[in-house]
Amino acid sequence: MMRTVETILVVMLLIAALTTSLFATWPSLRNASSQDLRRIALTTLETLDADNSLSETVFKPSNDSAWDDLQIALASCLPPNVVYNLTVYQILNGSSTELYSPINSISNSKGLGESTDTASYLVTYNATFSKTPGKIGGTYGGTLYMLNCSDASGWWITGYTGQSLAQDLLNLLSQYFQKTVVVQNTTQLGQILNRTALQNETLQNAVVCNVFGEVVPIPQGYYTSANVGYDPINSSYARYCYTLGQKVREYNWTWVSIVGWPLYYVSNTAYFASTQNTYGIYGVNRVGQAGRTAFLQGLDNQPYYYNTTSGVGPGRVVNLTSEAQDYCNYYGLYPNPSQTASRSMPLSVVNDYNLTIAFQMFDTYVDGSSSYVSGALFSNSVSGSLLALGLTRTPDVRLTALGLLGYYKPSLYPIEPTTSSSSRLVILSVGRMGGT
Amino acid sequence: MTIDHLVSTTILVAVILIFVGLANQTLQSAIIYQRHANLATRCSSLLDSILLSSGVPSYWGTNNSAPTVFGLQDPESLKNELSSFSLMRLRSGTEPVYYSKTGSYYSNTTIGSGDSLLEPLAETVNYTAVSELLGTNGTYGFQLTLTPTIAVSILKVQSNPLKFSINVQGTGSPLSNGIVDYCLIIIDVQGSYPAYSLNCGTASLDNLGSALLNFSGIDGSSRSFALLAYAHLPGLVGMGYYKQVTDHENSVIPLVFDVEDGEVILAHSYDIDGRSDATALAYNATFVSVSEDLAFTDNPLQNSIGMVYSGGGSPYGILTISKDTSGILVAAYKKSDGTTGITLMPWGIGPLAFPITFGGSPTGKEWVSTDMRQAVVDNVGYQVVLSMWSLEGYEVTGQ
Repeated sequence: MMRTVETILVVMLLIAALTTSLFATWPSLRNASSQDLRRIALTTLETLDADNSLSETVFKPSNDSAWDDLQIALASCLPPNVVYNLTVYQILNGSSTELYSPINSISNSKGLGESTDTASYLVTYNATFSKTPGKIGGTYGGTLYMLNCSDASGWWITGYTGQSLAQDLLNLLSQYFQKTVVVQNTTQLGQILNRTALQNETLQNAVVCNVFGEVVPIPQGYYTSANVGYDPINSSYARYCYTLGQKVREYNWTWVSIVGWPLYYVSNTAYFASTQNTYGIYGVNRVGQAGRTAFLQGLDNQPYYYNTTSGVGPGRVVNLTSEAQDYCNYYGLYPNPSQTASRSMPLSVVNDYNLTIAFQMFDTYVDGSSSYVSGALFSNSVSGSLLALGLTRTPDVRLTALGLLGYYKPSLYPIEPTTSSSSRLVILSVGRMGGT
Repeated sequence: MTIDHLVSTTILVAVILIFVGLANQTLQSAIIYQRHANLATRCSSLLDSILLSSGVPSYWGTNNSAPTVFGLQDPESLKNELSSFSLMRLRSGTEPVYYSKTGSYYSNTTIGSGDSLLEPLAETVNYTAVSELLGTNGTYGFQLTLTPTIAVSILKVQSNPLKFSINVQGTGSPLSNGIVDYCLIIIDVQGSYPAYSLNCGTASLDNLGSALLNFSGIDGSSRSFALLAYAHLPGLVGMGYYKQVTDHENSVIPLVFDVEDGEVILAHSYDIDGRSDATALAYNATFVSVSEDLAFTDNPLQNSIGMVYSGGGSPYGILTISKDTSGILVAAYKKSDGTTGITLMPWGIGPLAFPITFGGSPTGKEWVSTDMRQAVVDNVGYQVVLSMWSLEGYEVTGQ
């Protein structure tokens, strides 16, 4: 009996030992110390994209020769015992449950050998990141009038004409407004002053850009008549500036003076054909210091009073305020932050005409007992505004744009490219050939 | 009965011993397998650690400070681009060069063609220091090798007019239908100092990765010149060069004097390798940089013209090059008998596609794990291989 038990035990042990030795097989030595194929694949893709070549190629049609170059480059940089399959996927969007769709594939083998691994690489190409500006005014305004009057001359805009400045300013500003209307001559200016829309635009709450520097275009006829545009007692067209101020108040306009002393001259090349501005520019009539004052009187609905006492501050180098510099960055406008001002507005106008500084572009400075501001948007407490940039010539219309954008603050909405059109997924599978 | 018991007991014991032996052998194999797998994992992660970090300070390649954290990634890149200057500071395993005038030894990184990158040993980082920074000192040994992915071989097939054959091979296949941007720097012997001119162009490779470059009107039979060639397909760049000199006795040897300041000494070969001819050499040096689109630009240097004298009584001159821009220092030289030569020194290892071997030797180690990555140095594609082995304990020969 014991022998039988012993024999059975021995047989069992032998079977166990043999079975164990039969099944105790180990992975190949290559697997014990295999290379990281996934990392090799990823670094290969990164190498091929070091100069963005891969990103460009995967967006090309499948019959483009760039795919052949990519295959040669792949074959050249991978070791000879490595097989590969590179597949490019289009990223889908919409309601489809499928996220990726293959669009092209290159490979040097049907299979991928004994051991394989895969790396994915997302490439982006032809992506344009842009911004859509919000519109000024919304439903209650948003018209930009650009005074491009062919029958007016400019002053203090040395090196430019009003017409060329108008075009530059339009390029900068038109995208921010609901409607841009170019006022081609003084007749059209007279029409809008008479509440007649030129292109079915909203006249109320508009911005009127006068790009003629210290000159303001004046329509013939009604606006040059006595006690409307002309002050017969003082032989001055300051009365027209007063009327303009009234219109700005009536329509809640923002009147823009891009450089120098606002409303220092009036111009109509036909009406003032034989008059010059005392510096030899014909078609221009000198109003002098009374022009700006009369405008502010009209803006504040004060009675007209011919006043030549208000002046400007002494010449200084002035700097953009920190708020203005912030808006430079936001809107991508980069004028020189230091400017020379020779026509700074006295701060006393704020109290004299019920104004507030709605957006201050340059720091104020003090001279004697008076303070001056070289660039600011002044808003009347009731209605109407004036953007005055009392800088020396030549004008920089980026400052004008900055002044308006800093006041109205239209938002910029980034447009992000859609993933499906600008991104593709590249999958590189690599496998090692050879025995175990 | 007793005999039966003895026999059966003996068989039982024998079977148990066999079983235990088999089990022991199996367990031993398993332990070794695990060790090897662990070594492979360490090797892979260490390689990533080296290639995906710039080290600290991140610009240690361009200043004289030693890194406190080791890494080779280009600090201005987020991808697999490596710093040409950090690689330049790795101490070469070849015999250092001694220059008596400075009393210093120089690490000698060379491609074996006579052109070297000689850097003061004091400004290089050695294997021991890097091992300590990587935390492998005493436990693992390693060797890091960088080999250009694309091999560009150039042969002169005709002297008059000068004609070259270029063959470009990748690790897996030829660079078929690739493009070659080349620049022939040819030395003119007129005047007291040698002059040089650059003759650059573009050629296309055929299906076998070959091309012929013809320089009609140039007789290269008795002139010194160097031909630099970048072969490329979109995303993959290789570099090779060919050089001919008429002065086989002497040469001007550039030595890096100060990495941080971009200063280079031009030494006489007599003072370095002890050649018998100590004749003074007139030189004219320039710095050729290569843009991202592989265009060659000649950047004239201050004090680019001068004399190099041998012997202790003559001081050495120093050239200053743009330290943050990789490129090739080209020194044309001329002896009084009219023979000339040209020496090339890469500033950074990429511009001349120098290979790098850094670290210990894996020879004789019982088990060496290797891993590989692709990388880019100065536009040139490299394959980076890390070989790693255990220095401690079990199944390691020679321990």
